[in-house]
Parts: sequence; structure tokens; C-alpha cells
Amino acid sequence: MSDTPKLLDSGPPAKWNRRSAFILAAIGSAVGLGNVWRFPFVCYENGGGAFLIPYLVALLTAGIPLMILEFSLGHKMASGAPMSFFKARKNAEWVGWLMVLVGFVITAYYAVIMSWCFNYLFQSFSLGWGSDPSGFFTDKLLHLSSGPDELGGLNWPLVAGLALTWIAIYFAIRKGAKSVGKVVLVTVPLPWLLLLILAVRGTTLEGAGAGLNYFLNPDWSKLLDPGVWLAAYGQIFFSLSLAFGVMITYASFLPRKSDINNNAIIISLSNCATSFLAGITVFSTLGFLATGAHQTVAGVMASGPGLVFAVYPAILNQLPFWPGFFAAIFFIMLLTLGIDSAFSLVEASAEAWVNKLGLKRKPVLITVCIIAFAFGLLFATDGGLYWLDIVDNFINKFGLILGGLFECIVLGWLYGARKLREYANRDSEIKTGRWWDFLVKYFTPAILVVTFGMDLVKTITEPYGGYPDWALFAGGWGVVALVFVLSFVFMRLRTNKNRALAGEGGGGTGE
Amino acid sequence: MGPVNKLNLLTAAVLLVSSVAAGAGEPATTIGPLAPESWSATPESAARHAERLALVAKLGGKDADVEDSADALAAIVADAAEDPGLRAAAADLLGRVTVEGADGEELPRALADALVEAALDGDPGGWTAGYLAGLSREKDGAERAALVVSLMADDRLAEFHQSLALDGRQAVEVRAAAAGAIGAIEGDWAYSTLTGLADDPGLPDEVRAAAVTALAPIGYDEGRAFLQSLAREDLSPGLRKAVEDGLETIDRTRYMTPAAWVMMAIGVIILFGGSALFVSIALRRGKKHVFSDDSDGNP
Repeated sequence: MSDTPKLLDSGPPAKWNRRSAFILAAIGSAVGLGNVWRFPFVCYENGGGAFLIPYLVALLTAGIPLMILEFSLGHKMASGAPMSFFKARKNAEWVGWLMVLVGFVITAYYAVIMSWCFNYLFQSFSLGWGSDPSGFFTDKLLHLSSGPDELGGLNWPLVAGLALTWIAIYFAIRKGAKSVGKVVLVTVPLPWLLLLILAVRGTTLEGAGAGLNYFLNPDWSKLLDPGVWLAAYGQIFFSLSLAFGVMITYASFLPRKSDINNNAIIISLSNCATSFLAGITVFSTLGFLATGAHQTVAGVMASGPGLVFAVYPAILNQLPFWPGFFAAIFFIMLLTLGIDSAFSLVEASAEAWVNKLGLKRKPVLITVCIIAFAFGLLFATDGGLYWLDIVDNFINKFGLILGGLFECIVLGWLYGARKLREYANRDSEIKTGRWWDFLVKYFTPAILVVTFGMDLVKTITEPYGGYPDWALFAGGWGVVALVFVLSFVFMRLRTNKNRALAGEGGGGTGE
Repeated sequence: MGPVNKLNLLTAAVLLVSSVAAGAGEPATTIGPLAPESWSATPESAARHAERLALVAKLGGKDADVEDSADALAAIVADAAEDPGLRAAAADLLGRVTVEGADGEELPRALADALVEAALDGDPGGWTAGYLAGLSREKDGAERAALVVSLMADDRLAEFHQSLALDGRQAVEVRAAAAGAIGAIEGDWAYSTLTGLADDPGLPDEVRAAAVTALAPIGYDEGRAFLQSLAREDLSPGLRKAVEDGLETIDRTRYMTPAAWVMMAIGVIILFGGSALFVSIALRRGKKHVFSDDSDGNP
């Protein structure tokens, strides 16, 4: 056994059987709940229609270039994120682990949010949240305690939803690209279709124009505010599933001749188009709510979970016909939007361990799912929402941003942006020039450094969310520190000694 | 300057002006002149006033524990016989005592409760509305005023409504400002209150015009119909101008502006059109390439 190359134990990874399967899977990963509950609010807060200009600039100068960077690395090294970084630069494997671990932490609580969606779906047809959706969410569903120090017991409906989510995730990715390729045929077009139905419903409601006016009426003066531009780069960075190792992993399953650049453009544009459609849906329905309640749209606006679990159900209550039907459509849309983002993160983790230990995929995947489920139980307690909020804030602000920054440094500077550009151009119809090297080496890292610096100063000077210091240290700084420490520990773990055999194969098939 | 320092300076300034004005028999507040008859000193009230002044001055200090003195501050705020300036300073301090709401928001419930008590006390001179109007004019104050009022209205909507209506009182500026504060509160109650104020020929035109201005952003179709019917009446030039401006505001908020349509077109063309364009470029290589594997990879 010991003489047998361990790489062979796990067997060659399954590859995408169609280019469209890869594109759909990558779009599914990028498009998630944030497209519905974050983008519309960020757009409205930062100049409405005028925000589209920095947003599109950020897409062209950071989103698509970073997507190309990750696809090139994954495809060239034909491995998950840590192994890809190892092959690019021996001592940089920890960067890959950092990405994977950040993604793993996010999956743990993301699955709990999916569990909320399951619970709301079960209530949909009877509009079980009643006339006070906000109260239903915090009191009846979450049993929200008074603070993070009061964890309370496990919330069993949430645990059941969490278990359901993890079972769905496991079955979606149990055969890697092969099963994912089939699942995304449903989970990517379906939410688009449902979103479109909801957009048509929203824009035909009374007051839709008022809502869309808030969303799109441009405030050009905002373009002079650097904060608006940073918000645009932040939105692009957070929404494209970059620096999680997902795109690296997915690209490693591509066949040898793949059009990396055009794939990156299609996926990035589709993600942003989905956000835009979600904005139209959300604001048209908010306009309906505002008009009926004699409020401004700003007065009824909310972002994050508050939008989809409190404000939106209130709107659904008031729909003139079939409210239960549209409620079910809305929560099925959220579930299908979220599930492929969740399983892509798990896939990135599982593939990393399969590469590292050379073990068979099935036991690795089951182990990853069980550990993440167990970790997620923390967020399924009465005080879970507080911990979710803290962990989400810190892991995104520091883990994800630093992951992206180190990625640019390692690949742009140490490995060489030029090498990856030439590799990506090899089979791509649309070629990138030296400007791409500049964006990857200088421009994007500069934006990330500024974003990181501002977030760091803000977090130190204004304790996040008014939570007690011990909670911020345990759930915030502590988790970020743990992720960094574990990245180095995992790098030092006894490795699959034959991993070098995989080499820089290009699609894993050798050049 | 941080918000706390700013508040301290403001409180100190109010106290200073208030003390000087009290000596001159001319009370002052953070919100401009109210009803001068609302406060007059007697030996007992002067002693109580001095004691309260000392308390408020002490609590205005940097590290003072306001929470322990919340009851004493609430008593000052609710006391209609007290100097309006001191009441305003006490109310500012009381606003720092908060409880955490369900969504984590800090709620100044103690201030809201004290203001309800003030409103129930008959509120000569409309101090409650005046204080809220003053608060709504401060930086980011409209939101805070709305929060306070929503907390007040939670429990005692009718009493608060009565207090803000200020029937039969002459403080026109304060009443107009109160109409603005009601607009910031939003909602059905705010809308019906404002239409009631705007439609009342017994009220001064300034108050009616302020009500029209405040209801326009929350009026939509219903507000448009109301203002159109109002426009058919015989109105003073000032009020007519407010009605015309209000109709313009409603038209601006009710429908998408041309600029919003342009941005929607840009978004659709670039994002959806762009996606379609690059998918078509991929398809140009052959349908088989996109929808099946023509590579030499190992499926």
C-alpha cells in the first residue's frame, strides 16, 4: 500500500462533461443570497443608478481579471486551491488553505441560513409568519436570546433544516463534477426563472415605479465619493465567489482545451445581471409596500436577512392574489440560489483534502459535511444569530480580503502574472494584454489593501455591532486567527508525497 | 468631534443660555422661542430648578452615569412647569439612556416615555412637538426624531396625536416644524395627520404649507388626489406654491424618472446584452463545444 502512489487512491477527479456544466456551476457558486439581499441595498445606498458606473468599472478592472486569474491557476495546476498554490510556489500552500478555510467557515453558517429558508418554505402556503413577520423571524423561528452570552438550547426546527441542507449538499457533490454538472442544470436556471416571475409580479404592482426610482435614479454627486468606488469593488469581490478556492477547484475539472477568458467573462456578467434583476424585483416590491403604507421606500428598505425574512414576507402578505404561491416561489428561489453556493464551498474543501491526503473522495466528503454540520449547530441555537453576525463580519472583512490580497501577491508577483496570462490566452478566443498583469499585480492589491486598512481601523475604533469584547474576540478575531493558524498547520501536515506527480498539467492531463 | 463631545457642548451651551435667559425672565431652548408664559419662577420652583440645573450640569460631564439619574431626568422632561431650556437639556441627556431592541438597535425608550408624560401633562406651548421638531432639524436628527416618536406612538398614539395637533395655540413656527417631524415619522398615521392639518382652514397657512410639504414624499396616488382637490380651493399664494411643489414631488417619487429609465437601459444592455454577446461568441465555436465535451480530457 505504501508503495502505491496515494494520488491513485483517490483516482483522477471527474471532469465537466460539458462546457455549459462548468459555466452553470460557476455561475451557481457566484450567484447566492447576497445578490438578492446585498446588491440592491448597496446600489441604493451608493448613488442608485449612478452606482452602476463604478460597479461596471470594478467588474472590468477587478472582477473579471481575478476570475481569469483563479481559472488559470486551477486549470493549469489541475488541483484544488492549496495544491494549486503549492505547485505555483512551494511555501504558498497556506494561501490556498486560508481560502478553503474561510469558505468552510462561511459554509457552516450559510447552511443555517438555508435552514431558515427551509423553515420559511414550509410556512409559505399558509403564510405562517402571520401579520408580524419580523416577530415571527426573531421570536418564533430563531427564539432569539438577549445576547451572544445566552446561547440557549438547540433550536430543533433549525437543526432539522440544517440536516436537510447538508444532506442536499452531500448528494449534490458526492460524485464531484459529474453530479454537480447535473444538479446545476436545475439549481441555476430555476432561480433565474423564479426571479423573473417575481420581477414581473413586482413591476406590475402599484407603486413599483416609486421603488425602481429609488433603485435607479442616479445621484451623480456620489461618483466623487471614494467610498462609493470602494463599495463597488467590495460588492464585486464579495459576490463573485473569489478567494474561496471555489473557482480554482471548479477550473481544475475543466478539460485541457478550455476558453478560460470567455468563461470568466460570461460567468461574471451573468452574476452581475442576476444581481441587477434581483434589484428590480426587490425594489419594485418595496415600492408596493411603501405606497400602501404611506412610507418612503427608504423607510421600508432593509438589507441582509431582514429584507428576505421580515420585509419580504410582509410584502407577500399584501399581494392581491396567490400570496402563498408567490411566497413559495420566493423561498424556493432563495434555496436554489443558495444551495449551489454552499455546495461549491464544500467541494473546494473536500477537493483540497482529497489532494492533500490522497484519500478517496467519499469518506473525505462525509467527514467535511459532518464537521461543518457540527460547527453550524452553534448558529442553530437561540443566540446563534449573534454569533453568525460576528463570524460573518470578521471572516468576510479580514479572512476573505486577506485571502484575495495574498492570492494577488503570490500569483501576480511570486509566480508571475505573465505566465498565467499566457496560459489563459492559449486556448481563449479573447486575449488579455499586459494591462491584465497591471491589474492583478498593482491595481487590485491596492484596492484590497485600502479596503482592509479602512475595515481594520473601523473595527478597532468602533467595536462591531455593540457586542461585548469577549464575544468579538472569540467569534471574530479568534476565528480569523484560528483560520490563519490552521492554514499553516495544514500546510505542514504530512502530505500526499506523490502530489508533485500531478505537476502543472493543464487540465490534469499533462501537456 | 465625536457625537458625545458634541452633545456635551450643546448641553453646556443650552444650560448657559438657559441660565442667562432665566435670570432675564426669557427662557430659551434648543428649538427657538416657545411660549414665554410656559415658565415662571416661584420660590419653590426656583429652588427645584436650581437643584435640577445642578443635576443636569453634572450629568453633562464627560463620564457621568446618566442611567442612574434617568428617573430624575424624566421628571424634568415631563414637568410642564419647568424651564423649557432645562427640559430640552434633560431630554438630550435622557436620550443617551437606551435599551436594546429586538434587532439590536439602541432605543431611547426612557426619553420616549418621558415625552409621552410631557404630552399628557397638557403640554402648554407645545413643548413636546417643539423639542421633536428641533431634534429633527439636527444633523441625522430626522431619523432619531422619527424613532423617538414611533416609540411614543407605540403606547399612546391618541395622546401624542393630540399633543402635536396643538389646537388653538399660536406657536406657528413650532407647529410648522412639528408637521415636518410628523412627515419624518411616515406611515398611515403620519399621512392622515398631515392631510388633516393641510385640510384645516382654521390653521395658519404656514402650518398647512408645512403639512403639504411633509406629506408629499409619502403621498403617492392618494396624496396626489388630495393635493389636486386642495388646489381647486381658494388658497393663499404661499399655500398654493406648497401644493404645486408637493404635486411635483409626488410625480417625481411616483414614477421612474427619465434618468432612472436610462440607467435601467444601460444595466440591461451591458449586463444582459453582454452576457448574451459572450455566450454567442462561445457558441460560434460550435454548439458541440459548449454543450458537450469535444476536448481530449478524461471525463
